[in-house]
Amino acid sequence: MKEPYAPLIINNKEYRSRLLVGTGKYKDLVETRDAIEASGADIVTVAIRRTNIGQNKDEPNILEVISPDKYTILPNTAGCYTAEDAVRTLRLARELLNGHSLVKLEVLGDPDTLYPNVGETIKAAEMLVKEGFDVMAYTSDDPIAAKELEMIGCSAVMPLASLIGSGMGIINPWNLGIIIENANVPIIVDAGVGTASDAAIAMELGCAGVLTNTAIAKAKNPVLMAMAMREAVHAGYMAHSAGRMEKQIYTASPSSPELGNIASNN
Amino acid sequence: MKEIEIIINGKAMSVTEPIRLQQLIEQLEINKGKFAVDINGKIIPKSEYQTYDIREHDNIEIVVAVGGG
Repeated sequence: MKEPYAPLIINNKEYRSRLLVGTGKYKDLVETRDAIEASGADIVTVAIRRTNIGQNKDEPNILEVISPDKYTILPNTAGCYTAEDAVRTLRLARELLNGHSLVKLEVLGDPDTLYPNVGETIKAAEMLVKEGFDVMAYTSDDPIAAKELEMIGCSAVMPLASLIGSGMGIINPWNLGIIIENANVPIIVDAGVGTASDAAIAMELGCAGVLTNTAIAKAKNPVLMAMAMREAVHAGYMAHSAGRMEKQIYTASPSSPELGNIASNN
Repeated sequence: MKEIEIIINGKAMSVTEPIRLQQLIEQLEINKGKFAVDINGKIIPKSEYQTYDIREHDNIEIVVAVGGG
């Protein structure tokens, strides 16, 4: 039997992998490169930061390791707390990446929880969509906020599974379920995935993809975890396509035939 | 020739006028790899580096891509 496969489609563009990965928190650029490659991801996030004037001028750049020729680079607005800063960051990113329009918008509300500021996110999304950006918006798992971001014209909506970098997994599968059920754009879980099973659960819930960084970068063996994530996203996608059995609460059903058992009198 | 004060990536710096953006980038030795420039909140396309005159109190942001999630 042929495995079910459908590419991830964002704004009419197809991506082979449903796993999206970040490039932060790795030990070095070699480990970054190896883990990203092992993940099989097509879409790879990077952050935009001030260059260090007069320091480490020979330091290799992330884009020399994660080439825009090989990957779809997804610049993010991590660390921005206002719509204005996020928009300014992405305008710079577009210039940096020669007019590239696919971006990850995240506007944070609080440095302790890194919880998204949904109001500022919506404001930034409106401005960015008007300026021709293809916006993938990080948001809370609030179904109304997710719908609003879709209505504004975001290309994908990315609710958190749990707090950024927490590895706590999918805290509220019911909210994600409501968001997925009502969505007409890809819903990609972003933030909180801790290990492969979390990614599989997200996919089984019907997510279009999973974005993860820390779960891979902070695993004891990042390259192996990247492979595990790749398999988990694929397994979860197939399980969702296959359609799981109904849960039978308090009711057992033997998997083996009941007739012909040597202990029986039948 | 006049010393002017500008801000680059949040830090005050003085440079000698007249100076074009391209010269400033070369002086700062950042003309390597991919970067982007915003002056006073406006993106300056690469095609304008050669002709853009840096003025007193210009607020310049020069950014690169770094690892992030």
